[in-house]
Amino acid sequence: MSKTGIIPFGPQHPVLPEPIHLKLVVEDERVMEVYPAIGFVHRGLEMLAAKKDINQMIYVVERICGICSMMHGMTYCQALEELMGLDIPPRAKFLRVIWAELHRIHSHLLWLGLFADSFGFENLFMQSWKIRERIMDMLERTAGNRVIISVNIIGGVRRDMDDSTLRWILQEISGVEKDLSGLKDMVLNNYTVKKRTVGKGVLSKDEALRLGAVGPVARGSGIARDLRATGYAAYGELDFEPVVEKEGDCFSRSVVRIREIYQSIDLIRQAVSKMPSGEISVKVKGNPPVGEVISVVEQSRGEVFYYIKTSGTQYLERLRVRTPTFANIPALLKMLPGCELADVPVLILTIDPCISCTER
Amino acid sequence: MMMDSKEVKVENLLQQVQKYLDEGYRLVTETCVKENGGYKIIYTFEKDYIMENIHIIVNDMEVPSISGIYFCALLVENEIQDFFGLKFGGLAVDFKGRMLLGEESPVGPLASVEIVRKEKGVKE
Amino acid sequence: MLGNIKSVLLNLAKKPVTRMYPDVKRNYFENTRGHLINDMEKCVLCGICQRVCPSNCIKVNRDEARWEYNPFECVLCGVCVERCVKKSLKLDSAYRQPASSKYRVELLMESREEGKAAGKVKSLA
Repeated sequence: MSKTGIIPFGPQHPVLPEPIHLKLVVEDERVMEVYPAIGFVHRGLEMLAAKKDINQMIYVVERICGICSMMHGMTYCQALEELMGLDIPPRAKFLRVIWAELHRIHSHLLWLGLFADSFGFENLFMQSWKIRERIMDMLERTAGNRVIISVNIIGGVRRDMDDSTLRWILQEISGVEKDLSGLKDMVLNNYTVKKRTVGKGVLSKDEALRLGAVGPVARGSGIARDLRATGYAAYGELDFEPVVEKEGDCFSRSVVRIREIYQSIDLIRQAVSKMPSGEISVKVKGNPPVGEVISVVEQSRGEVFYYIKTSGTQYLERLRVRTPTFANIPALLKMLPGCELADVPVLILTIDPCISCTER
Repeated sequence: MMMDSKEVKVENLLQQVQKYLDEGYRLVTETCVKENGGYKIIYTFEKDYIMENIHIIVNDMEVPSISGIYFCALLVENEIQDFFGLKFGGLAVDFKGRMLLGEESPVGPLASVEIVRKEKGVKE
Repeated sequence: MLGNIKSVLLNLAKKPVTRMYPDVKRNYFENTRGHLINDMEKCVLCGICQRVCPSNCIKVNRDEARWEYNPFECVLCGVCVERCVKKSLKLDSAYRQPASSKYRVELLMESREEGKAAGKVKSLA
């Protein structure tokens, strides 16, 4: 006879870097139902928009998430630039692409480490974080900070890279690529990893669409949707194809992320080779006009959505942020029922959860 | 992109949302904004990188939940319930305004009007 | 599996990637935002840094000719440095050292005539 019970998962759990609580209704070892509870790290950043002016808000939105902070700032600045009708210099656009792709690489490497840790593969965890450290050095040398690099301003970027720095980036990125080649085999052709990920947490294409999954979760299920194809910043001038895998299980989501690291390396090379010269920012005068604007950017975890309503003053009337993990949690809730209890950590890490992003 | 949205009557909302689902649109998110004393809820849908917005204007009534059509709407509708003190009817999972806020939190902090929560019976 | 063994052997033969920290220190990059310093000989207490600061960690008191800074609230964005008219604010590339209690930095301008800026560090209650 099978026994049912409720197992609380989190908010404190060895595999969770951030607090999320799931009530798992289990029948023997099988998860039958899941009830989520979030709200442990809610900071109310949307409300701060009423107290900080539009330039100070850049540094607030960058702190929504530590890992994709530059892209938050970029989305926010792009929204206001569009509202104010600013045309930012091409060099600033290319610099934004380089920083955004560096962020994507370090975010995916961080995820890979945590993911490996979720099924007890400590070696892979340390190897991937070792490589990540090179990216952090690149960010620190070019922008000044390791994680929250604060390079965006409305109208461009704050820091420039000279030719020797760009050459150094190319050299370092080749080193990262070389290091990755060893790591790639450890993930993609490994018996243990395959045993834990292949066929687990399958999300079909229809389900992914209906549940509004974004980013690598959607692309792992066969939805070829990458917002960089819309050509914001300088992506319109660079050549790339969205990475898509068909199976929709944990393994194909991992493959998507690993292939995206290589794609980002390629994009950085393209951006450096096509880098135009010139100014890095335009001067902004006055307050933004009254209006409503939506801005979307492909972050490392998926699509981020900004809605900004201005009131014609230096303060925003409403700022709304929908982060990628917020869109991926419903997919997680559909993935979990039917899986083994031991697979729950793997499934949670497979959507690359960022809880402080989700709660803002 | 600059936002333009068309208004939909509250009673036609579910029908309109169902139409988007049938056409293969993805629900991006819902956004609640305070406007002229009432609340504007904007529903954003996306297909092939093109975003479409519809909005409803509500005052202090119960808003129909679209989580029966798009399951993923449940998180954002709970969030609006938390922040603006609105009520959604027929939510798939209803946190009763306690998803992001705690027991001691202010009610409807983004609504910028004072809402007093009425105690109903004994709390769980 | 063979790939793993190869990686294990390679890593055995390599030098460690970590540093023996207190003995071996990493050099800071030239552009690193380490900590904020104010040269009171140049400062005119205009108060722009106080206005642009996103975390409100700088207080400028013109009546008492005092520039106050809370390093524990500072987010090291560097906006004040960019907007400083007299270029008296500077970001040093060395990280701020850990402290056992919180303190505020208070700099007074009165000693300008003597040709030397007096720095005072006051601990927070």
